[in-house]
Amino acid sequence: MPESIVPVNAYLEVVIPDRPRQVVPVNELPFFVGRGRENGNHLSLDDMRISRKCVAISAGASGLLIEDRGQRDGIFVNGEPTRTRSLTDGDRIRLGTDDGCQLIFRLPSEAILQEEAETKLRSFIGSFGRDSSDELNGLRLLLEATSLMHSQLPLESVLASMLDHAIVITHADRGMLLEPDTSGVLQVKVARGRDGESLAPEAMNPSRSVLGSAIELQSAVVNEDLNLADINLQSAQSVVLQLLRSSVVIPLYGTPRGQVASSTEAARGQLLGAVYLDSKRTATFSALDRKILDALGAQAGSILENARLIEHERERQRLEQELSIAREIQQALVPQGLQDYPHFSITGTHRPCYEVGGDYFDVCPMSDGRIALLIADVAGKGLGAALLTTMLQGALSGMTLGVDPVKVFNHLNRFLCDRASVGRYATMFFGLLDPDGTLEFVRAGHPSPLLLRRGEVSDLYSTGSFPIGLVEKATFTSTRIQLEPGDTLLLYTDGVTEAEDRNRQLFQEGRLKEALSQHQDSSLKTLQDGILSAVEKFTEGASQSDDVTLLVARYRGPEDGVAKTDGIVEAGGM
Amino acid sequence: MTISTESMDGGITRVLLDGRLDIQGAAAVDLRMNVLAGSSKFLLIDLSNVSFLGSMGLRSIVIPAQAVNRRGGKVALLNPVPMVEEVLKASNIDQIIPIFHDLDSAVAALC
Repeated sequence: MPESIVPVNAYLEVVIPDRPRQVVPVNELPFFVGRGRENGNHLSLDDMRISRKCVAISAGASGLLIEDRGQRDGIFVNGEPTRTRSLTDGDRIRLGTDDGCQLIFRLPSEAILQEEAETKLRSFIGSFGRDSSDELNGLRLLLEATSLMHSQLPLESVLASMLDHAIVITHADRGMLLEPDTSGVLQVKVARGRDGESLAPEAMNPSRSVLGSAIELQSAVVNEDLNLADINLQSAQSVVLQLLRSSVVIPLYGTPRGQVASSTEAARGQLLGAVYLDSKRTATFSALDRKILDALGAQAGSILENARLIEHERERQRLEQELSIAREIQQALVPQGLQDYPHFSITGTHRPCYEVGGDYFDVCPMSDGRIALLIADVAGKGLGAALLTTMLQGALSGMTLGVDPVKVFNHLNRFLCDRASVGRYATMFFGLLDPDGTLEFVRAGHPSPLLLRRGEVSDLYSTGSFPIGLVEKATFTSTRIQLEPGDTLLLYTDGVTEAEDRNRQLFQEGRLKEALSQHQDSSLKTLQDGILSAVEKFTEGASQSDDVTLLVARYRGPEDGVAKTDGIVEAGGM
Repeated sequence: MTISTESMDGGITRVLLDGRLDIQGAAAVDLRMNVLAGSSKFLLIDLSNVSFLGSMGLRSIVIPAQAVNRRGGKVALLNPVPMVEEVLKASNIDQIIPIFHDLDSAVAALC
């Protein structure tokens, strides 16, 4: 069953002198090797020199690990005595000191795997006889193979093998697998001839009426030569028989979900497709046992269902991989381990609610000695927002080269309004901290940063401003204020104030101000953690519904190191 | 999130939004709002029953409103709850779409 499968492509080659080489997939983790299956070993080595608990292969941080579980005389990886280490393709694992048994760890690339899987499949199918019961047995094994080797088998070859079996069982000339297209019409997906050759699916012309009746009856339908009794045999043989085919159609159903299996038709799962077999010879299928057709249908249905699940799983894994790449890129773009500056201590944190987020902050020194602080929140969440965030970061990095931030804001607004189909906009706050305490800032619809001064919390501004990329005629202006030594600025995104508890009550600015006012004398890290824990306490474990970002800056004073006397060196990060 | 409309005297279309205008809410009303923006000259967006306005929801109001304004029409917002009004004001949206708390003044502003 697919859920019991660990998606590991690795396998072990077992090399024992004078014995054929054995290949064993590492299909479960941890994977135990030792003497005797009864000792819980997945790979049992029948050799007295091997301890009952020999080695284990388990998942490590970056790949698979091997660990000595108590092999007499220890284990050796590539000749090195080893307790535990990670494995790479081609590692040779010697068990014990003598040259008895050796394992070679293999982690082949996808292409080699597919090739090997196909070879395995062929040899495995070739080993079955030519009578129906053997072939049915073969199908059962193929079904097991699709479950067991699903991470390796190419879908097409599984389906082709399934048809080859069906052809042999029924003595048909051709076999086809049909699957519904997006509009629900059954289309030929794979077609095979009786000598195991592939046929072009588009050249097949299965009888739609026979297909239709099988699906209507939800059961296999055998259709022998049409009204043969009514046709003059002499003329029929010369003309009609060339065109007539006898056929059998077996509709394939998935396992019904959430229902107790029963033999009634109502309990059938969703229609997955159909196997269509035909023959030019008359009466090919008349002797077929009903039971064989039913068994064929059930097993082919399971194979197809497994194959589908496998395909979905592969697709899901691929998407997950893409997303994790996006996440890595985004994480790499936000400042890591924020540093302190002579006049300011700074810390920040970003918690996306999905894999990637639409919040963004940055801190960078300008050529004129000022420090730029930026926080932005792109509307929406997830990948769409993250793409725009990355673009904003690129555009805003231009400001460190001395471009007027107001101009950059105006430009970005036009840029995004001209591309309204992007469907996103952003709120932003950009501030420039001067060593003399002057803060010059440009805002775009962003919630006002909070100023903590002598235990009192206030807003930097109480009026609104247009966001970037929503209103065409929006313009932006810059404002200056003066900071006093010891002032703390808290920049945040609305994921903080709009954090919800289980009753959908919002955290709101009032609670944020209250939490901030407690931290006049705290280090910035303590302050940041205090706010995050106030939010967490409020939401009581309700799932985070938006990205949460905080950026905190404290002005030490105009002279270097004024606030350093307390010995606190702020350093924050992710 | 639901959206319904009624026609009022003076060629005004009153749009009643009901529910949370978050990401899902915005997705549910966007198409309908854009169609309304294309066909109405005077649009009164009744926000009385909108309990939450998120950033994507704000866009669902502003983009159609700008389309109406560009074509020489007028848009007004009616009766936002405090949380919703705060979001509108923080984004300066009240500068381009006036907010009213009684129906008569809203109608008077549109005609």
